[in-house]
Amino acid sequence: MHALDLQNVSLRAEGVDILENVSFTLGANSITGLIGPNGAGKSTLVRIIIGALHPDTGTVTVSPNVRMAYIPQLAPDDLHALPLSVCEFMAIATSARFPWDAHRYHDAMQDALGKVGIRATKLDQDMRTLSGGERQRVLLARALLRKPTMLILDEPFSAVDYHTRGELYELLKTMRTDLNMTIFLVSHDIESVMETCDTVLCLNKTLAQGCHPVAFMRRDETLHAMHHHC
Amino acid sequence: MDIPLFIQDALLAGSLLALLAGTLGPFVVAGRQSVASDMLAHLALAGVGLGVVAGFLPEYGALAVLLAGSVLLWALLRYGRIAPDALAMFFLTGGLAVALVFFHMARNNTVSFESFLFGSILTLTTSDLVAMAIVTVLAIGFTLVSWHRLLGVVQIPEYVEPYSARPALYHLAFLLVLALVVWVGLTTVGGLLVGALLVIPVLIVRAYVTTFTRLVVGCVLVSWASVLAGIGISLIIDVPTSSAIVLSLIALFFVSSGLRQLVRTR
Repeated sequence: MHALDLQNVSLRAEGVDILENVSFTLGANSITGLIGPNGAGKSTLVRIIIGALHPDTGTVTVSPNVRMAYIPQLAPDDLHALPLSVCEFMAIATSARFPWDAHRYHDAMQDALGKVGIRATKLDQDMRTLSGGERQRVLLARALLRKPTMLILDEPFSAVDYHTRGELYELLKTMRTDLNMTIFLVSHDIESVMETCDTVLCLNKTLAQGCHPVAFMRRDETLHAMHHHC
Repeated sequence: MDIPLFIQDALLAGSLLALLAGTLGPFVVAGRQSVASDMLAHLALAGVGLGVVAGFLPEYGALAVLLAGSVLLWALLRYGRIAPDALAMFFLTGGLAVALVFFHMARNNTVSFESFLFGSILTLTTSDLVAMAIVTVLAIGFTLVSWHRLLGVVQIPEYVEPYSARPALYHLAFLLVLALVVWVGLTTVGGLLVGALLVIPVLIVRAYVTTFTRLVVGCVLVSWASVLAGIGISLIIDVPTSSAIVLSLIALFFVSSGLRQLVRTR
């Protein structure tokens, strides 16, 4: 049973092909990585998968029993950020309506934080005072609040140090096993992707068939695309 | 001592404005939409002019144009291909230019354009206060009931997209509520000064609190204090009330920043 099935997905914007005939399936309980140079259409593809964008042609079929959660690229440290507690940040992903409703989700929040290795006492802490790694874990915990069966991550760990990144990839593997999840992640980090994922897809507007990630990223056209976008 | 009715009305209107601006201000700053209130205020001036030319109450001309303008702004931000700062120029200059045309056409009219630029909190009528109370209930009610959705939508829409929260519609609703705040501001502190009540309290309070909810409560209190101080000052010395309110806020900002700096260096 496929958790997600994309068939011939294409998208053009302002006369430029962003994605061309992209087709793939995600098996249940799999970890799939998507790599590609800047401008390859990775984030666009993610936005199509989560339903924020509609393709010009092609179909996206999500299995009816899939509950999706999305972890976007972490915003860089913002000196002008406003006070926001971990509890308030996590409540954005809940059905809480009034400001005082967030407390109804305290137990679920503490449970989710525990799963990603964050102490429950951090719930009242200001997001501005957390480290990059902690904020990334809070994002993961926030996604877990929805009890998802599929996690979609877009460049999830690009803003954290090497050591923390390794820990977070390990955490993803644990979550797949313990929580029986399908995971789809976009990354530039080929080494970690190859180590973590069952399957690696290589995208540069279209999917390269049977690619080897390292060879793909070293190909002339990929290097040209990376250079062109730098 | 009996407080004259016009001062009671001014205190009530100022309190409603403080509640509105203090509640919405943190959402405006979080969404980096501070200039949106100014854009809407300039459009409202065109609406005032339209009301004068068309022969109905200018306040209601402003309300109609504000609501239509917030829908236009939302559509341009969502579907347009113009950068937000460039878009701001169209609204800021266009609104004022249209307002001037209308006031030129109705130059024999007695309506004071200046009172909408800089407010007239000491000359409010009972119907003004009733309209403000209704708008306040609507705006605060919507904000409270949509608190976490709005917080997600104004900060990073991508955070709420997969959760079927219809972020685009919430953003539109937020701009409509902001239009209502600007409308209340138009008749109290003036279209050109209402932005100060939305933004400056946030800059004062954000260093002292650790949650968004406390930030909102703090902003309401700071806005309220500045409104009371402004009305009080303008009754003692001969300065425009709206200027006194905004200058009280600015003074609070510098006192607060100075105190924090002092504490930090000790």
